[in-house]
Amino acid sequence: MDQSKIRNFCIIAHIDHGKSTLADRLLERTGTLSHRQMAEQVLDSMDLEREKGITIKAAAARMKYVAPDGEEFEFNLIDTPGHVDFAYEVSRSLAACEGALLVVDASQGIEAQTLANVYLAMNQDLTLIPVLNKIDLPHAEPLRVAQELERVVGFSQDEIILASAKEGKGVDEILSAIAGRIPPPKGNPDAPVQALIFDSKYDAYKGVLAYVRVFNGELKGRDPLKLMQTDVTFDPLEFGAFMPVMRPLPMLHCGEVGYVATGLKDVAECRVGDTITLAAHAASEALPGYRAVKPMVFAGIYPTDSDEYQDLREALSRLALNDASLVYEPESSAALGFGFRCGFLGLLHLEIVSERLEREYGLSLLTTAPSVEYRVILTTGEEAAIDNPSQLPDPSRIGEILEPWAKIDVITPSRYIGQVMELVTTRRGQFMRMEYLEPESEMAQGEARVLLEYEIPMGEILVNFYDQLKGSTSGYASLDYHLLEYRAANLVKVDVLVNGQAVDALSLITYSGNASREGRVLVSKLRELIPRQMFDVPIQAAVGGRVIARETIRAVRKNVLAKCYGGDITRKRKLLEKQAEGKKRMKMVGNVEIPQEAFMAVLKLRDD
Amino acid sequence: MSLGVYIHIPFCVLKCGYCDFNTYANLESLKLPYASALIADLESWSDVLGAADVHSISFGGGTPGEFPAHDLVRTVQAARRLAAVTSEAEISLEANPGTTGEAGLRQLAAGGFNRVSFGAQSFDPLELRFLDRVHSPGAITASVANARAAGFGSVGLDLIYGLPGQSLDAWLRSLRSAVALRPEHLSCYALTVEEGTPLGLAVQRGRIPDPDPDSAATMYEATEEFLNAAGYRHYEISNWALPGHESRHNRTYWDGGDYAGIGAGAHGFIGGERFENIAHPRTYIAAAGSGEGTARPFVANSYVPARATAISDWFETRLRLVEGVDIRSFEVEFRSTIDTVIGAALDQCVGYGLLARDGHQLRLTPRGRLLHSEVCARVLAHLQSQDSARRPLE
Repeated sequence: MDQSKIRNFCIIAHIDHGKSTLADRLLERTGTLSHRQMAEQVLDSMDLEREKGITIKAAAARMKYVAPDGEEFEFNLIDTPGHVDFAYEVSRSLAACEGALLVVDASQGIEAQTLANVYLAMNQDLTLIPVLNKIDLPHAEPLRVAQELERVVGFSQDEIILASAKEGKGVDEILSAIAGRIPPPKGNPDAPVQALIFDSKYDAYKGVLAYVRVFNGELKGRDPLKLMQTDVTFDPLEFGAFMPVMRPLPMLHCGEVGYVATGLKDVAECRVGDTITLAAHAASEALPGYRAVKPMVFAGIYPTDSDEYQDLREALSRLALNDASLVYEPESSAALGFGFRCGFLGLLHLEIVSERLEREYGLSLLTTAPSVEYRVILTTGEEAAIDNPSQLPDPSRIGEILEPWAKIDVITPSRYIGQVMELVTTRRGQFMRMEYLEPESEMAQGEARVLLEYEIPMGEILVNFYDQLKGSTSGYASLDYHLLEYRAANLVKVDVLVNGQAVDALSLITYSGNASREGRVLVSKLRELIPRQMFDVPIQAAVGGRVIARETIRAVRKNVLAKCYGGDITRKRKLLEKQAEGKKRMKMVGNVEIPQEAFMAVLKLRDD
Repeated sequence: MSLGVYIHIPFCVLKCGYCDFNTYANLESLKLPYASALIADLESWSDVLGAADVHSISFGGGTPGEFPAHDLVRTVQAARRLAAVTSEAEISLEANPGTTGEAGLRQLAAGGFNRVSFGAQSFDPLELRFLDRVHSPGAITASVANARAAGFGSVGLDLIYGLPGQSLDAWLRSLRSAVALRPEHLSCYALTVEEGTPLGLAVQRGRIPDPDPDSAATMYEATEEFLNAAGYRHYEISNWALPGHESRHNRTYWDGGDYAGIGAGAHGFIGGERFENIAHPRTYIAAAGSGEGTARPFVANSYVPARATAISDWFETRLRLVEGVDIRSFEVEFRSTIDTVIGAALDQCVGYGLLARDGHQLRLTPRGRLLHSEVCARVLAHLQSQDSARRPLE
């Protein structure tokens, strides 16, 4: 295909603003897929994605578009993950495109994450086509949202397309705008091959499939190819494109989007952002923007039943086949036995991974409270990275602790500014900047949307922050975050002792000013969560050997069935079986039976 | 074979809010056909009954005392026709205070009944109302007097303690009133909130507080002390009796003896096999007609428990007896010593002060009597985790 007829684009949209429905309409209207063939929302293929209404793994689809004047185009739609945890993947998907559809719900307005992606796209010189979707909704306010887009992003009113993907309105106009407004790729077909990997997927037969955008040269033949960042060489098995099902093609032309079947066994060798080139005639340099993805959130994942350790290992290795950003290594806990320390891009990533492990692999898991990675400068001058609170060295050996900070953007109607301020400052956040996205004077009191910028320790937004932000703004606020840098902090480790024995899995690292309060809350939560035992069980929270909170769980006094049921033994049996089952689900720590929920108590510190 | 016979009468004038037994109000019209079905049920066991000495016949419910006395007597006669009912056999029924008159009691005594147990529950009018009981405290006194006058040699009272908000004093007042009547037998049950009952629902909705287990424990300990001083012997977790008046029938359950279960939803245990009858009275009655060719037309379900279950059942029932159990009988039954099978769990419970071992005798300690389920759940969890318990009998 002649490069001038190729249009590569993606869709930038907030969750639920209608990205998937619009993608479906584009595939349908271009005849790529008939309405009948199409399972609703083809691009999101994982069950979990549908349930959570988000796109986790990017996909790509090629369409043939015939303009009203008969001119034919090749459209490549690159789907982008819709969650803040996957910001880097989004940036690589954007890098593979010349343009983007900015889809905004006409009843909602632009959200923080979408705005962050818009800026990202603008920085990469993408042509943006603003689409106001869901104009069919009775409470849609297209005029107001159009003005917001004009103000915030700088669109002119006549650029904005009004659409209802659900009803098929505006779809033709969007297709024609893609052909007319988005520039074609401008690669050099004769230059050495440079193809950008924007996603990858493991296929049992073809090895890792690299989803690529060819920037220069052409991909064809059987000549060995090379991954420039990881320096891995492979023999390509197949080239092709998704239409939207996988279809092999003799070659990928300059400017096109498609896949390369690499035959590689490990997605980690085929990283998003890497450049594919010819092994023999390599490009002089890789495409810009590659970054090794580093996990930001860490948690221990343990099988509830220690017999399932091998199954868990197997399941993790299978998941990691398709998820280069999931890292894991074995660890053991005195309380929980053998498990894995896992690193995730963010909390949603953690949630998705643990749900998939349980759902797709039938495992029963215990996930410890998530932690960020701290950097500890020892008195000896050595530096250690700590992602598990129980491993924090003794305070006497610590010179300084550094913690990661993030910049967060919150967009909210102005009437919630007070609540957001309070939430952020109680979590040690620092206010940086505020900007009205709409002129206050033209809006009803408190309705004008405002962008708030803060800097805040990452560790403070891991647990419940997003939920509380939503809760304190009646669901209106949206959030975007990205990592800033490590800063020194006055942090301490709070240890929990159950019946005099320290329980490693319950340790937490916290700001020293909050240690006493959090210790007290933790201890009282544990008192609720740990059932009464055959003896009194003291629960203590301690910082460096000094007890800061203590409660006692009194020994159970009565657990007996009184009645005699006329010789019916089955009722007692059922009850005993339930109690015996309950005992098996407990983790024995010393001689205390601790239920799984107790290990999540750390997550509840911020509930109140 | 020595056999106990349990006969279930699933009818009540009113179903109490805490009750989750297989019993029904407003099915009066079924009483007549039900009486015939009971006899058909007994006849369906003629092979077993014909080879057995019956040492007890116990009518439970429901409210057997409100079932026509004539039909109860007729059922006992049927049992006598089919089995060798021993001369000193215990023939008992449960009744509500005030509803079984002196005439009825005389008729029952004449028909061979020698033991009656009244569901007194409390001597406090407000507590009785809370429990949906329709009788007054005075009716209890009158019923006990009537039973004695009718010639019943063993009169028992059932009491319930641990009601939400009940004080220890309030409970002891009821207990004292009961003891003042010198019943030969006393059963004291802690109120159990069962799911699916009106009481369970009220607790779930927060309209009634959950009974406090600690205060129930205190009441239990006070009960043991009080009844002991009053000359009653504590022989099972919830049961006390004057010497010689223990419930022979109920001991069958706790001793692991054989018993037939007759009536809707009744359970039986014969020769290691467990039986469970059709639960609803209407379906149960219908089975009487369809019985041609079916050996046990009233049985809905029967099975021989797997080894782990059998061991757990063995342990759970016998351990309820205050005297405990001779562990050598375990070896006779399961062909392994108790220590090789559940020794670790027993040791743990001994360590917690829940169990005591005295030579061959294994029994709950006073504290353990309140924690019977803790002990048994540990034993069961241990059994389930042991492969040896899953192996069938060699």
